[in-house]
Amino acid sequence: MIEDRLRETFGRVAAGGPDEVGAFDRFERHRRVHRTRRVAGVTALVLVAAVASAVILPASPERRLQVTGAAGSERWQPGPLVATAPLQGFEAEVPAGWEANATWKGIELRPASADLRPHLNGPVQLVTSVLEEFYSPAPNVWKDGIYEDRTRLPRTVTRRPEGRQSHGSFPGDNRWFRTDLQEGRWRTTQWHISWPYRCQPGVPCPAQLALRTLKVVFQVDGDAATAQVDRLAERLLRTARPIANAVKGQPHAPRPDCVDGRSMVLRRASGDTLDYAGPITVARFYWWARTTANLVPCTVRGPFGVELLDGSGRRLDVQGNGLTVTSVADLPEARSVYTGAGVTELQLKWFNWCDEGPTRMRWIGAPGTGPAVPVTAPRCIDRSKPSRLVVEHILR
Amino acid sequence: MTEAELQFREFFAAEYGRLRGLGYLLTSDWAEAEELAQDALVRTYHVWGRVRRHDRPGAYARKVLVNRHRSLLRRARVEARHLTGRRVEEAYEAELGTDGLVLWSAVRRLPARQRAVLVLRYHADLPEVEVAQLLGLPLGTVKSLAHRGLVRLRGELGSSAMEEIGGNRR
Repeated sequence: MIEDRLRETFGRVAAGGPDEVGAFDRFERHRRVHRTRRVAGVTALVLVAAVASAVILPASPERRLQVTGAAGSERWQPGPLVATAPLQGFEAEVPAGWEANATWKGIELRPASADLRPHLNGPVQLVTSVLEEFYSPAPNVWKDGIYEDRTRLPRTVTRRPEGRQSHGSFPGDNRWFRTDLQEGRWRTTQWHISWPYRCQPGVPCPAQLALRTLKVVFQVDGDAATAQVDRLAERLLRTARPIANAVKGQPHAPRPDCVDGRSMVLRRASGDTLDYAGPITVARFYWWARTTANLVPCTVRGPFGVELLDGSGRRLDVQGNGLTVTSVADLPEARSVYTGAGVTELQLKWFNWCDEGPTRMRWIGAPGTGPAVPVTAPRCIDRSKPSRLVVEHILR
Repeated sequence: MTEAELQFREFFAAEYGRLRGLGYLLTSDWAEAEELAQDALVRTYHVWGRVRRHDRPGAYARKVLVNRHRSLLRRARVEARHLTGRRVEEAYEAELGTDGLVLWSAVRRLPARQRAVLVLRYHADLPEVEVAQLLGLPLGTVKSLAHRGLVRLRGELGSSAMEEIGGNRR
């Protein structure tokens, strides 16, 4: 009975999942956030009322609601060096006293002075990132209507920041969002401004890419060093210029192949076999590639495939056995109704195996050919027809 | 810590796992499930003084979770995820075994309301009347959704393989 199988499957699924360790601590944080949102809601109402009264009351035409952040208004004379990150869609001027290097996810800066180095835990990084909508520094990021839908990026991609939160605006109403987290000696600061991603003409563009940010992140100790690096960070964000994929209508930089663990996370899994009453059986094999939290553009390139073997390692007589797919999709634009935004999926299916004996499978392609492992063969349906391995779909 | 707070802690320890599991069955996403469970518990906490006197305070939290899920669906923020076949970060399905994984994949492809009815009916073991109340649907609709969901599960699990054997690639 499918009802019994459903009960059993639901039970197992619901009992799985990540550890519940720290759930109550997270509850306490969640409760505080909830309270903050309620307070923010009330505050917003009060502000709306204040604005409305300012507009309605002709007796006080000069009254204005002015929103300012903690950032200062110091003027900065740019240094001679411009660091460019075309894949990430920005360029920034590097002030004197700092050295800049390009990395796969953006630009990193180190102080030229030996005095400051001991107070920095690693370089100051200027990179692209993505925040959950709730924290996005730019309100109504989707309002320009160039994005197709609001298909979500996986939770593992979007970021929910930790630490003390603050927000404000640079001159020109360029809004920022910032977190500061003190852990032992080091204070970690992440400072974001909105940095939308503009897909190329004709390319479907998941709306979540509008949540991209340009982020400065650094770890620092000591008040003097903190002040110095804070000034650098502010200058970088205030003077960064959008280029390439951050500008509507501009061509994108050439896209490199995705690298597992950097610009993508690559996974594979076999779905085993369905064995319900009735003659239908299929073995499924999946490849997935998803973008990472830096949303670095790249092309997912195979080969990706599956090889079916007998118990002694010989290739089974299956149509399509060992087939591979090479070019799958571009990240971070890839998305589908099955996988969501920022993920591409390749599925292979194996049908109608009518021989006896043990069967094994081996993954072909990046990240390397895997070992042969046992696999449950699909049930024999029709001896007169060949066994087949097919690419079910490539989802973009 | 007050007595009410102590009671809530015990309630949290007892209910959190169940709520998170229910959230996962509805959304296919552990992060989303945790958020739904946490949200339901926060909202329950706010009215704990009243709810703790109920016979089944867990039922209240479950109702909050289901309502919250429905409201997210209405905002079309979770519906896209319901169509999610498989997600990269879900490494927990390996323990499902042979048939379970495929059945669960098929459940995740069901429309949201059919899936919610099946989860509440066959996981939470609620009678159809209670499912109808919880989802704000007429009893007949719940019966029909459950029936169609089961039919669709059986059908979907079978049809594509038959087409492939016949040589008709989609």
